[in-house]
Amino acid sequence: MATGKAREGAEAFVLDVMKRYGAGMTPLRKNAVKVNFPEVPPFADSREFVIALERKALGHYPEATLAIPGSPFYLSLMDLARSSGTLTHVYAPIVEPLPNTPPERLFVDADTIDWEPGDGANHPHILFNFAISYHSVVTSDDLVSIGYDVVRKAFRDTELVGALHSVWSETLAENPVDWRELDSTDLEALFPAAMEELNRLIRKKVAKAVKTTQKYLDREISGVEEYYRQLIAEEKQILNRLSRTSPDEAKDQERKIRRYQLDWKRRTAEEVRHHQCRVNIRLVSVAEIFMPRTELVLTSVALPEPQHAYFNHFLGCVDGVVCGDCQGETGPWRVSNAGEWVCEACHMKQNGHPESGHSPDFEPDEEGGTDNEEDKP
Amino acid sequence: MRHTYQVGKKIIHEVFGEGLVVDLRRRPFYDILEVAFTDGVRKITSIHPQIRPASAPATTGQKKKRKRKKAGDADEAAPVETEAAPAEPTEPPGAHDTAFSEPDVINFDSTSTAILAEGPSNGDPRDYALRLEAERLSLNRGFERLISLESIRGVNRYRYQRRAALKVLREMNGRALLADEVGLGKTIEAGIILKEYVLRGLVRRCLILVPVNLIAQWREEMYQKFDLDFDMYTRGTDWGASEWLIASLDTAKTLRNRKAILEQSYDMVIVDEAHRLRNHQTLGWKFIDALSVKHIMLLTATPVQNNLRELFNLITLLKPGALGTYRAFRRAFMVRGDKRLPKNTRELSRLLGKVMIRTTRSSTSIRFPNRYVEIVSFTLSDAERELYDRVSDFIVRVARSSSPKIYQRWHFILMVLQKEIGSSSFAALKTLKKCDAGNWHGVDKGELTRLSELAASIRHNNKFDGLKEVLEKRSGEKIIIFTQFLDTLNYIHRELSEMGIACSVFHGGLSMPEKELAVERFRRKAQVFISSEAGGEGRNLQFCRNVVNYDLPWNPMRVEQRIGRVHRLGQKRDIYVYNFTTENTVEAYVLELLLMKIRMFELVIGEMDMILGSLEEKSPLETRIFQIWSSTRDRKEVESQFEGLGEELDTARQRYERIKRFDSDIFDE
Repeated sequence: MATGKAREGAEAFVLDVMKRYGAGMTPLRKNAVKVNFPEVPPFADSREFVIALERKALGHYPEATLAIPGSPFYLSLMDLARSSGTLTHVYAPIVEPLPNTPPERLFVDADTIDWEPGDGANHPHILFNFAISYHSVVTSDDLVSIGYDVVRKAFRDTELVGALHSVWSETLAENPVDWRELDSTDLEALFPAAMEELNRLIRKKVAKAVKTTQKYLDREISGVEEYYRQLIAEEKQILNRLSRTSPDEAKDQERKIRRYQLDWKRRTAEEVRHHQCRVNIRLVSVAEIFMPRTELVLTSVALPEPQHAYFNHFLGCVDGVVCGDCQGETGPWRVSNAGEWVCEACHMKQNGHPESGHSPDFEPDEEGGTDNEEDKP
Repeated sequence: MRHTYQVGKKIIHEVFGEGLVVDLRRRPFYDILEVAFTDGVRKITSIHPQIRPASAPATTGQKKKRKRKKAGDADEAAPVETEAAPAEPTEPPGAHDTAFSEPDVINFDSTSTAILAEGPSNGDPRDYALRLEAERLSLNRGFERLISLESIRGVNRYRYQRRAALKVLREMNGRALLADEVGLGKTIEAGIILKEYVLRGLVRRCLILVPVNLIAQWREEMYQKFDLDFDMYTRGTDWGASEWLIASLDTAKTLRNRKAILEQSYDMVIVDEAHRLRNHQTLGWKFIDALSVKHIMLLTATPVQNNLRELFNLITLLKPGALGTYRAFRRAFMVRGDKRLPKNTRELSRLLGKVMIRTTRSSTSIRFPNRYVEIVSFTLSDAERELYDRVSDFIVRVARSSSPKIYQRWHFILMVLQKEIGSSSFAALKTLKKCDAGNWHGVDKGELTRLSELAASIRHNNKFDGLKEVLEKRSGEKIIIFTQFLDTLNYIHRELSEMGIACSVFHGGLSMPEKELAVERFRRKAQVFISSEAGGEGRNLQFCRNVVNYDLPWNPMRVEQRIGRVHRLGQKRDIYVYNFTTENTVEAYVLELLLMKIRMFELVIGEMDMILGSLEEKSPLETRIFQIWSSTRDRKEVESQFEGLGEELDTARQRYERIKRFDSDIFDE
């Protein structure tokens, strides 16, 4: 039975597709929804119909279209969604420079910190999304996203990639009207590096999958080997006997043994073909996301000259800054008089409680860029 | 360089490709290897310069070959196929060779990078989010839970079925013998397992092999219950043309088809009534054994029919060696001198548990309700009797006087006419008129006209009075009335409506939504459901327990399917079956065969298949019944021939009973 979470995910997807095609939706009882579209959508042949989000609903609305995982309607929605949605790298939101609001995720030990409105240039990030399929019952498939910071020319850690997804789903996808075309980054040139980053991210899981599968395969092949060795040994005993008594029958017996030997090879090859580890990687989509940023100018007696940094309002973090201790990028941040950036978590580990500054009200997004799930046998 | 070789390990020969060392004889300075290559077994010395172990580094020439493969061929380790067709990686535009951690294992879908080269586009950005969500929902998360159950229609889901499906998926890797007792839903289990693989994208091509008389039934069940749209193999179909195919095992195993099928690559093969594969020397067994398929399910309620070797043969198809070699199996598990008696049963059960699912009715909480059958006798009116006898005479005359060619031409229509006259005068009328208007050579057209007129003059059938009695008897209860003919259905509907009885009508001419509404109407309002043969196949009618066979199909399976609409898993009350009979009609003989010989009303769902299975291979039962009836009008002769057929059925039933007991002794301690 589908778990609640899985069912909710599937329902949300169905309703999102309806919304995408401009459906007006009227909830009916027993988890059914009446939808009407401004024009006939590609997955239906009428503008108005009822969809059942669980089988029970059909008892009340026998004419409803069943839209649960595995149903033909649901599968057609999946096919539709998977045949588009790759073309998102050429748009960016027009974002007016934000008012001079203080960064919310910054604690300052420094004497002063000034901020200026955005510099007018948005900060582009590129997301490469890959589907990783293991063709296995012991290793779950993944959707892995690689996030590239175009300004820093570096890949970002998975937490930030998760935040980028949130930016997309909560902000950009909801407001698709204010979009304009921008020059696209040279994605082809960037792609090999993205693949290397992907390799780094999935290496451990692939190695584990290979090991698990190999273990299974070894066991299967050894079973086949044992069977045929024993079988051929038995037949050879008979052959020895026949060689002395009946040369004609011995020839037949030899042929039989040859057949078993070839069968052995065939079965071994089949086991390998059916059970060897195969990891298929597919580039699913690419998104280029542009976000506004605010320049921070840090001045301190300890600093010989002002230090510049950029605060990203969408991600709520300081661009280009890495924690001196943990190498994390997500912050929140504390900057010392000496101009050193430490994430608040590391600072608290070292010093106990925060002494001053703004209280962070931003929780890092838990949805990571990767969709890893523990392997379960 | 001198290599060491071992039996069971692969070697590479520069000319013959990859081979498997199947034997090795030690000599003082070298070994003699027997190596199985794709094209045969060869003897080679271990110091032969052109061979090396598959794991050893290649020579210069071999290195080149290997390097080329590494770049993109995920199936590199597959020995024969890779050698036969070395796959050159096709560099996509913009794709770059990336050093993956497991280059032999990872296969990058280079076509997917096409999007990188796409220029600015007007794609809707909301599609991006939807696409990611769709991809996420499509991910294969292993088999922690069954994801197909919600989408399956018209099936009661039982815990033992879920357990069985999960076991096959998790522990048996989709290679299993489903040997549940009759009536517990092996087809459903197989359907669930198949659907689970399909939804995870692990099965994209499937072949179902069944006895010929079950092809349509399987197709219907897969479609109605699992939304799996299979094609039915018909003569001349290209075996590679369909990814979802149902065919008869007998057709598939023929030399010509076998070759074509072995060239295909199926992800799953399902074989129903797999006890037909019990003999390892038959074409069927050899054909299934030669298939290269990752998942295979064999379905039978009686894996053993004569001796334990049959069980060994079936298991060997799934997993060679699971029970050792036959000699070892015989030593370990068969009592000397008795091929039917197992020994060391605990160990045998343990081994079978790895490849076989066997659920018995007693091990479940399922109670199959009883079937009570009642015979409603009625007398034909004079006009009805005259019509019945004269139509029967006419059929016998045509059958006996026509040349084989003419008879063959009219055989089907004559058989239908005989069935119609057994149903109602209204059903026969249309065919009589058609025949009268048609071009019948060598047939008394005048008689056809007279028969048409006689049929048209009959306004009331006495059988209907019998139906009224049944309705009175079961008043307040819902009743399903089955008939084979639309004109009979309309007649019953007309008469019942005039009596003020709420009816819901169901027949093959209705569209799918109309059918759904008809069932729903019966469930909610109507007392009577009048159905043609398409009577709610795959639909849930267990809320009703009364079945009226207004006419009796000559094919016992059809009768069984009718009863099966209410007598199935989920029915909690005993069921009542009403049959009409009047003397000296085909239907009276058929009913006697069903009652006295097959004892079909004592059977549970599924057992009829088992009884008729082998008997019907030669000739369908209804054809034999018609042959008897149309051969003579001599009553004694007819009785004697039906007696002979009855004996055959009796023997078939006894044989089934014997096998059932035998299997139960072996598997169900």
